Amino acid sequence: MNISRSEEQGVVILSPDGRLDSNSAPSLEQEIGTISYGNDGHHLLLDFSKVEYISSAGLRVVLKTVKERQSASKSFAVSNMQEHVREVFEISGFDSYVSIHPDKVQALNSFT
Amino acid sequence: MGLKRDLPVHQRSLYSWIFTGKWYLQVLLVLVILALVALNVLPLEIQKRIVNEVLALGNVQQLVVYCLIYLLAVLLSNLCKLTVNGLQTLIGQRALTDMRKELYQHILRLPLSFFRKTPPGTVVASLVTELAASANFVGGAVAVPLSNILMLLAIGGFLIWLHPLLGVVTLSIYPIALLVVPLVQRGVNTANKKRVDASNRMASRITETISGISEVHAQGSFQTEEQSYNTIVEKLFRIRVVWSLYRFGVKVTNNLFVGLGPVVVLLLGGYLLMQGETELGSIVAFLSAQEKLYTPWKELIAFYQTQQDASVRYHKIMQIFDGRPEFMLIGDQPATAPVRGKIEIKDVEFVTTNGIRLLDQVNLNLDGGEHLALVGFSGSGKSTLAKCIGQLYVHTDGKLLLDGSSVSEMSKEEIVRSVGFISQEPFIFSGTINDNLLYACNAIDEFPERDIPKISPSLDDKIAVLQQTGIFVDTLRFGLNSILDAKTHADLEKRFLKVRQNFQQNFGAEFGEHVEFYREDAYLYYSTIMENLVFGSLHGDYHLTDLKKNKDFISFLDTGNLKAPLLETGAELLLQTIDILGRDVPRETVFFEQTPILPDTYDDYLDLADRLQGASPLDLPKKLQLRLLKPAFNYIPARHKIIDLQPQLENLILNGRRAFREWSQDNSAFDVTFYSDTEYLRSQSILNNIFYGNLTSDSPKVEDRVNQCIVLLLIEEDLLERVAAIGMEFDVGNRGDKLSGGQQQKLSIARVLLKKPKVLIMDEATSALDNASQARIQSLVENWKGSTTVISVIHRLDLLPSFDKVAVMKSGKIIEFGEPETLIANQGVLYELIHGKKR
Repeated sequence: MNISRSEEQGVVILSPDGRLDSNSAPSLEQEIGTISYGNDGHHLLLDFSKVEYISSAGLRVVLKTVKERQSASKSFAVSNMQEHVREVFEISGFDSYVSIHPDKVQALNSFT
Repeated sequence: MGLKRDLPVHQRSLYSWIFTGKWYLQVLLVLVILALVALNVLPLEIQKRIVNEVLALGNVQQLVVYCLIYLLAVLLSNLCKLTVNGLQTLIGQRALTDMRKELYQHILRLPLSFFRKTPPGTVVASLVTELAASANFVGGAVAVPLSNILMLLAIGGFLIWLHPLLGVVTLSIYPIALLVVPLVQRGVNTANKKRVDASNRMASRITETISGISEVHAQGSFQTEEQSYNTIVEKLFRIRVVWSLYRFGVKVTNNLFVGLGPVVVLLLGGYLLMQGETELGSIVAFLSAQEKLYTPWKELIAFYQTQQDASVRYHKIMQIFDGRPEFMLIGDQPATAPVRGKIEIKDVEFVTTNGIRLLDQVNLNLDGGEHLALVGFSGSGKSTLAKCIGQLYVHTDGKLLLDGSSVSEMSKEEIVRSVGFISQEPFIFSGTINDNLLYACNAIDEFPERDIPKISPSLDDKIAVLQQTGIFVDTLRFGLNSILDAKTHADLEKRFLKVRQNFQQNFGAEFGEHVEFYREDAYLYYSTIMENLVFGSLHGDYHLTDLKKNKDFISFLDTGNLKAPLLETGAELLLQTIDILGRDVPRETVFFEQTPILPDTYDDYLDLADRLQGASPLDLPKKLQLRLLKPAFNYIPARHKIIDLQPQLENLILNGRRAFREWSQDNSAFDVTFYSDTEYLRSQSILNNIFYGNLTSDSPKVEDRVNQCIVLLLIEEDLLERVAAIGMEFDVGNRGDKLSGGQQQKLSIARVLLKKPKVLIMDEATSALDNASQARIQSLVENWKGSTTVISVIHRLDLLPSFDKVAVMKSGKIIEFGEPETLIANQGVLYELIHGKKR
């Protein structure tokens, strides 16, 4: 899986491309691990526009990120989910833990 | 024979089936028949010798020897007959099986146009009933004529050798019969042809009516359907009577001739005996030979009828299925997946066999990865064009190219590897969700070995398409409602127990007021008294209701001092119900919600209440006591507010729970799994195992929240995909009737998406879905722009903006083609379609 990384307004944006399953989830987890959430760290946005499928392995990475960053000063959001991916977030109640935005602009605004 | 095998099945003659398959069986059959003939002539000679030699000389020893030989011959000849019959059946049934297989294979590949004019009933009747007659013929095709002609010749020869004149005169009857019988048989054949036609019409009528049964019920057209069916049945009746009369006619004609035999022997033989020109033994042999001649002759005539019958039916059937597939199944070149999915259509026409022009000079070019919408009025040819591109129809003129290759010349294998066709009417086959999901992929993988790797989708692949098409949630629910197969999923029980613990730990507090968890020492106010007492589930074919009627169980209640308080509770429930509802309350569920007494049994309980006047429930006869116990057993304190649960009874039941556990362990008739925090309940669904309690709220919000929490826990324990896989084993029923229309259409889309076709043709594929589901699939398909060519027949014009190109069709022609925005801006036909006619 290809994960592209960019930075806008002090927010690190990770855009995984393809399927987020048990094969690719560890590399996303690793990539997320490089972004610190301490006082000098960055906000994190996962741009899911190119994610075709997310398995429970991918969902666990998202959940872990949420838990880690919950009490930290740097927050976390997800944007541009395809409808069927969003549905998985909804049926598991993930949407109440994770801040989800329809597009990048709205997501970036939410950090300020 | 090799040449014949290459002929399509419908062009093969009936006789070609005689030696296909196991020819050595036919040879073996001939050998046994020769033995049989010899064994049949032998008794005649013995008979003559006994009369002429032994009886005259009075040699008893010789008489016994001859009789033994006679007996042996009879025994062996019957043994041979058995073998002959066995071999005939084997050969005939083998041939029938081959015919059925080859004909079915042929039928499945016939063009779709064939099935438009041939009702399914005809196909069923042909394969199931009519073809079976051919087996009788093929089985006996060698054996019967050979054995019986030989037998006739042998016996005839023997008679001529015995007395030439008498022999020739006796045998002369048969050639005359040979002239007359076929005349009558002609009548049989004509009637038989009519019968096959009428039977097919009847089968077609039945299948049509049954297929449209919901329309029949909707319109109440029972009498119309009965009348048209009755007309056919009556006609069939007349045809069958005539047919049967003719068939008996053949038999009678034949019997008449054969019956003349003994008269001739008696007349001529008697005269010759009187004249001293023959001996008595010969006359006896002649009379007995009449019998022996009659049997093979009768069988020959019967076989002649079988042959004629089989031949008539066979030709009728093969006539119906005359036709050739329009495509090759497997090409000469190894099939490759198309690289681009480019489509070129030049001057394409499609004219039906009746001469109706459905496509007229269609021209269209689509680059690989472009998305095209086909729009237009009904009957404008959109669907026909889509079907031509998918090779479901073969265009009759012009060029239709996929990546430069002509679609009509591509093999079916190449087409199904690259083109995914989703039709308007979803068809779900009986089997599981998984079977249906893999239907298209398996079809490809069943083609002969290629260098191309098999598709074999992974569990993630399958879940992905289920999510994309929107039936994942349903599948997950099927999974959660399944009872785990302990043999195949033994490893999962412990993991689901872990989920149960997590549910109580993480969400127990949140759901505190909405859930009553099962606790060994706590009374369940949302369960029945029976459930409280048993606190477990019964195995095998037993249910709690069986236990309620069980004598041993009732005596257990008695010894445990439970019966009396339960009877009293029953009586209290009954009297309170009557007191509150009155005796004349309408017998409808809505009035009986607060009592365990069911409305349809209320009258019985009113009678019971009369019996209770001034008497103790314990004085009632046993049968009535059982009836009184029923409401007590079914009493749910939190729901049946008609009485309050007494603390003493609550304690008694809790103590009874422990006593029942001990009792049932000694009583092997019932195998019970007791609810336990540390044990998986094998007779309960996965959901019940995780939830392990009663929901005390009716609010859908609470239920949704519970479901969300369970899914979350499944994700955490890496069980989500496993439960989905279990859900995919859900049996969808006959034609998918356990699924809703929407679910069926989603599943039929999912199975095509699973094979990841390079070209996707959607013929109003989402018409049965609600707007949200349609939009979801549309936005999914949109993501594939540039990688998958999409041709979509659509009615909803608001979906147009997401397509690269749109073709507007009218009367089989493309009257506008281009980008949707441009066409709308030009204010042409598309604009009219969207906004209505210009004024």
